[in-house]
Amino acid sequence: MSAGARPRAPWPASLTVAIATMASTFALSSMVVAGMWLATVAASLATVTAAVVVTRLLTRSRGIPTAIGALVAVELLVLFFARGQDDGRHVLPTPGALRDLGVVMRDGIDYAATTVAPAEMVPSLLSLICAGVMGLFLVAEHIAVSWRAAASAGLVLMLPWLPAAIFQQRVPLVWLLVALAAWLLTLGLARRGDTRQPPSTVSGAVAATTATLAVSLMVVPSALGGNGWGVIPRIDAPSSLATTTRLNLDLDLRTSLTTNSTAPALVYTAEGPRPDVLRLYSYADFDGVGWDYGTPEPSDLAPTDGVLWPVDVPAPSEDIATYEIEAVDSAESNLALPSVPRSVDVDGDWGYSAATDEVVSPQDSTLGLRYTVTADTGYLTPERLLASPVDAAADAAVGSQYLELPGALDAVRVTELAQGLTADATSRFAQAIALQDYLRDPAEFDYDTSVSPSSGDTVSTFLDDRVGYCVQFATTMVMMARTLDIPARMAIGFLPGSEGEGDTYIVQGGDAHAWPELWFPEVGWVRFEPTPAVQTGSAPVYAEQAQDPETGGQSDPAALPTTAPAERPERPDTPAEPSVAGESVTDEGTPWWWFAVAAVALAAVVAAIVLASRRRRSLAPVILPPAEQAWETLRASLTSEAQWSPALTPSESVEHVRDVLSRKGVRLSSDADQALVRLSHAVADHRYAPAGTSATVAQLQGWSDAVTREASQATATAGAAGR
Amino acid sequence: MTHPLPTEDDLTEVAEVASAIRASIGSVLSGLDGAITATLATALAGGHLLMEDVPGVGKTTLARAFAASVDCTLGRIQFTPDLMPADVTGVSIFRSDDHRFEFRPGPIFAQVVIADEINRASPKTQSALLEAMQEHAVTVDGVTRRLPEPFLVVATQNPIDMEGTYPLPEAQRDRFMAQVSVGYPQPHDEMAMLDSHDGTDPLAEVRPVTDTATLARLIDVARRIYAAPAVKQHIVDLVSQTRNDSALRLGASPRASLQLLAASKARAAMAGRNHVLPDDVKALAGAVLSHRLVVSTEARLGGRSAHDVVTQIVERTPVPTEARASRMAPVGAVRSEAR
Repeated sequence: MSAGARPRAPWPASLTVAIATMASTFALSSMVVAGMWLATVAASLATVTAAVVVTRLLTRSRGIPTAIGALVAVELLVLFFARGQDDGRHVLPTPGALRDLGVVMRDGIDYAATTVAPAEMVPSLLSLICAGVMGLFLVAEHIAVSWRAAASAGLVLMLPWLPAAIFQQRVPLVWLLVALAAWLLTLGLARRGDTRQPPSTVSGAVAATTATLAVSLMVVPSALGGNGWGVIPRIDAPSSLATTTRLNLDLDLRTSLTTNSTAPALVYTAEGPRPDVLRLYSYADFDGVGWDYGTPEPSDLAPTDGVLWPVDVPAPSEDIATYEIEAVDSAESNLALPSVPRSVDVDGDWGYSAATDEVVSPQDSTLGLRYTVTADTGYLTPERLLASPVDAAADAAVGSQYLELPGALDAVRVTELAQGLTADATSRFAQAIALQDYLRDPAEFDYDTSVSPSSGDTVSTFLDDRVGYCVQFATTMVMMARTLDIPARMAIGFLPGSEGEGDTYIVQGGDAHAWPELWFPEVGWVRFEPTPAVQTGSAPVYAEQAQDPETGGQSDPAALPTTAPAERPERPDTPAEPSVAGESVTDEGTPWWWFAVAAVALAAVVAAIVLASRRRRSLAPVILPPAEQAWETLRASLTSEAQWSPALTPSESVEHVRDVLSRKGVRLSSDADQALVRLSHAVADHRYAPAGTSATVAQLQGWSDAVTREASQATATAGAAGR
Repeated sequence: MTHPLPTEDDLTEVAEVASAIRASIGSVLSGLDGAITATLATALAGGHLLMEDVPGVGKTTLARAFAASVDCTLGRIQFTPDLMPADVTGVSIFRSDDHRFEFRPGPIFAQVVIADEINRASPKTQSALLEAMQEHAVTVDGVTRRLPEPFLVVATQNPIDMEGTYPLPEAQRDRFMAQVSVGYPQPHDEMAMLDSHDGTDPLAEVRPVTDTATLARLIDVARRIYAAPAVKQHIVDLVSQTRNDSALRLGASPRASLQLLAASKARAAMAGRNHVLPDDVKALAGAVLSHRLVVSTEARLGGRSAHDVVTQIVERTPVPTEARASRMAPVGAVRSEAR
């Protein structure tokens, strides 16, 4: 058995790996300010690639090209980055030069450790990135070309995308597609051309799975504008594929939240303070597990002229804000409005429902609508709320449905709890603050979008489990308020979103929110914020200010200063100026370099595992026994039509070959036919007989050759005759 | 391995006897090679046979022709709804002259038992037969009596006439090693049949070509046939696929694996081979597996029978080779690096 000369490595795959590596470098563009440094990276990568390809053309060794490439990479790093004491350049990678290079790279690590993304490029950081890119290329190239495991190389090439994926940052779609295309090309180029061995089904399966996963995980959800999983990079979808956002009007306390859409729903500009919330719908009917939305009757709608608010509003305060709101991707039947007295300038058939405080259109949708809102953001103040004249008649006038408790609710428990919390409260406002502070207390409740399903009394479940999201918090506060005879209802809409480009703000699908509204006679429906600060930021200004004198300052560490009422502290993509100051890092969450280090560590582990498994396999080569070898050689020599499937036994394979040949009008001579039968018997004996086959290697080879010769000649002449 | 491999002489004898029986049955029924092979393989593997087909195609004739070809005792039970277990197993009667009970053996005390239209009898009676098949013994009035060896039950079933029948439950169908469908004869076979039945009953002219002692010896030879690991792997592959196929509601049991191997060994012995080939397994998979499977409603509405599903599984399942098994073995001493 001769192992045969190893075929030349598919060196064109080295070029495609280099392209994929370079394209992947652009994934770092969200972490490092783009600039001329990309040219440096490209130049060094090109040099290393050239070195590897030339070596591959000169030798058939697997290891030497990668070793040469590594040497060239080190030389380039020394040449570019190593600086002596007197700032002199090194030419050769002498021990001194390597030491200086180490100093630079350590500086780069320190710099990365103390910088927030996006960082400005400095030479020390560039040395790190160059080393990383060239290393990545050498590993990926070695896997793809030396081992012909391009699928596994794809895993390595995905690493630069990981930080962007983890942070859900925008990645350049074009470069992602270039990287994917280059990798797919690599898959094709690095395929085994060796017919003596059956194609590896394992690597094929891995390739197919990885490709499918990559496409389905990265491209499809992004193209649809959704963002189902937190680790999928966000990509700007073509507008034709974008989906619209609709609030889920079905508020069920038993379901967990699964989607967290980052598709922009609303975009607005603000002159004056930003709105606390943008409110769309309100709910009165709760049945113990969910809220039922009732569309206002068209007959209840009033024109949208003048100030829109459930009660008459005295002279406006000084804090007037104007919002230009565009529902870029939000298709609702109601306008999103701030939850304070406001006037609206909007085109189309819109009407105001004072009872539910909604601006509704019976037929129009908000999709693509632009409208202007003037809001009195200073209307709600603690003083005004404290001055609200509370009496039962006024409460009854607003509607008995706002005081109803569902039969499924454990009314005794909720009443006792609410009364206990508000024992010291002397006003309705103080009661509301007490309920809100209880629910917002991180020591009492945790915010979590997954809840344990229960039936019947979901408020009790929430009070037992102490975890939930906005709907559970808001519902509980509404129910507690109602047990205290405070008319209360549920409202849903959006949190004020994050800053976009210029002076715009972007509200995403994931900003959807629910909150309770409590009735204050002569003031109106007032929003409170029981959902913890981790999700909602601070409570509304009026509710926040009131508690300061009473509690002596909240010790809630997550609450932000009241000057930024709507800032959501957990958002990682809040733009931050690049700075070298150490103190700015600590407040901004995990520094990005941590993820870079994790990615490199992961790469090392993956490479080690792949290396180990390849090594074991290369030590145990597949050496076919002579009978199988002859049988396989014969099969490989036949036309693809005549090749038997693995589901056929040797004797069935003989029938199959005879069959295919006779359909082409070819008959094997009796010698060749006998050789075929003998070979099949030898294989069957080898495989299944207790003593194996007695045929010698020469015999097997002879039989195989006899059939091959005749079959190929016969098919060739038959083909020629047919033409 | 404890059993020695069969010798050349043993194998020659099996092949000769098998072809003699085959010729003998062939003189009565023409064109039933598949059914006859399955019957012989079942007999040599020590199993029991279920024949399911429309009336009049020769189910009973095949069974009787086999019995007539072997010099053996023959019992025949025509199953009817009022047949009682005692009618199968036998009964103790009181002899008034010497004042004691005497056991009168039922028709099951025979080496070849033909159970005609088994689905016509009540489940109680069916169970009596099936128990006897499993235990090779009958217990009446607390006394267990061994049945003669070799013991072969050939049961026939009529799938069309369902009125007033008790179809065998899956658990009991599993007791039969193979199910054979005779099928309608080809036109030229039917012509030959008309000629041969012209005025005479060919069954009456069948003479025994072997005896039960020989048959017992042949069964022992078949048991000692060698089955390579690759062949066993093939059987396991096939059977486990029936358990995962979406077209099947019930897959084949481990007993099915055992019986498929036994039947395959018998077929190898009939061909005079001392080892099983995947060809044997493939040829018998339909007969041995189909009747144990329950086809899902969707597949049944799609017009697929259990036999179709097994055929597809057989056609798509790769035949294991020695090479595939050895690839899993680690550490070859030679590195292919040398060049």
